[in-house]
Amino acid sequence: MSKKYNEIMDKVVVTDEMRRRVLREISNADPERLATYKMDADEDLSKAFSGRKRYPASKILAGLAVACALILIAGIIRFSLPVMSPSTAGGTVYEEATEFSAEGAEEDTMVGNQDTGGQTALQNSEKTEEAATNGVAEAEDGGAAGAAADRTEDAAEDSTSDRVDMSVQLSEPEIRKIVENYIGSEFIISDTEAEENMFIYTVSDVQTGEVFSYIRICVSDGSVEIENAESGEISALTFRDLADQ
Amino acid sequence: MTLAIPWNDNRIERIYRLLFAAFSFVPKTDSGAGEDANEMAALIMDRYGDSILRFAYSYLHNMSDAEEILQDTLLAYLVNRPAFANEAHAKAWLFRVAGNLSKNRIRYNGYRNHDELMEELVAEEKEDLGFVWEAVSQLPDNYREVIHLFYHEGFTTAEIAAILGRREVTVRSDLSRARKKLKEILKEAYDFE
Repeated sequence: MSKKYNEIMDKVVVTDEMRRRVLREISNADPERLATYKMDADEDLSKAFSGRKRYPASKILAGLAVACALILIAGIIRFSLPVMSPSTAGGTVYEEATEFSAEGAEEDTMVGNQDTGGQTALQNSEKTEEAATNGVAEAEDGGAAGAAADRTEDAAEDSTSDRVDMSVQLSEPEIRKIVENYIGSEFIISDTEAEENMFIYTVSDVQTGEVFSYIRICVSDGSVEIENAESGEISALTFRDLADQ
Repeated sequence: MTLAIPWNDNRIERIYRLLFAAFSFVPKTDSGAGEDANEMAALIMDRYGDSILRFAYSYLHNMSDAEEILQDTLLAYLVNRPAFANEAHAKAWLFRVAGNLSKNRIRYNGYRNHDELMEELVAEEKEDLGFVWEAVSQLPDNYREVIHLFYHEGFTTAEIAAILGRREVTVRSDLSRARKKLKEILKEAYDFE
């Protein structure tokens, strides 16, 4: 197809006669007419086509600084949350379990029952220490509290990832469902196209079957464009907005 | 920035020098006329004339209108004399101007004159090319321009977005829909694969 199109376009050429005519017109151009060709500078075009400006060093450095800061914040959250927060389980379990097992060991030693209670308590203490050190907190006595610690860590990770990653990590059927919820019962999705990193939904009126709008969802950056089929008017929003509505 | 300048070709070397290095040497006159301005217009026309003419023709379907757009684009260049970062930037600027002038012309005319290219294809009995051109002509302007810039001129979608002043996502979507529509037209009307 494109080969045929190029073949067609090859027929449109500047002939010698046309060249002479155009140059003659240019040299005889009326100054008043020329004033109408004054244009504003095209900043956006310059930015798009200037390789130097596309990846300036300052942008790269800023990106690196942001990435380092995020890694640092994620690290702090991951390793310090259980200790910092008394309500979360990690530190408390460690402390309680250690105290409990130490007490148990002490008592058992006092009554001379070292083979049973004392050893068990020591084993418990070792296990709990190990678990608490690893940040997993799956010691027998601290199981429930350990799970709470896990959830806290997961939540911290989730909130961090929300801040840095705007991509839509849902499957196509899930995205489609959100779009269906958004458009309501008066409209249906009459066509779906999948491009690289993008889904395009054609939305039609249920009654008339007429195309009402096109919803373009860019999964890589979470941006959404809704184009009115009739007017061509485009409104931009984010995938989160779409899902919330 | 590295530009591969074919030093053995004096003509092309001169174009590069004129476009990217020595804009100031062309005296800026009110009339835009003069030896240097004329020479520069001739050089740009030799380098980009065919491309500009084709782009304008893809909108207007009429050779005399397309020729006027070429002329106006060159005049716009001589009046504004923008500084370009590279050859792609120069080409994009000329295409943006030609595209805007063509769209203004369509609005001004209110209709398109007869299609000489179609007549030529029919006269030459090139049916397959005729079908393709007819199908492309039926596309809305926003689809046709992305098809032309992508397939004929080889611009990337990001570059097309910059030339047409749209978002890249929109260009990709238009391109996808244009292909689909073209396929439908060719299949329905001409049973053409």
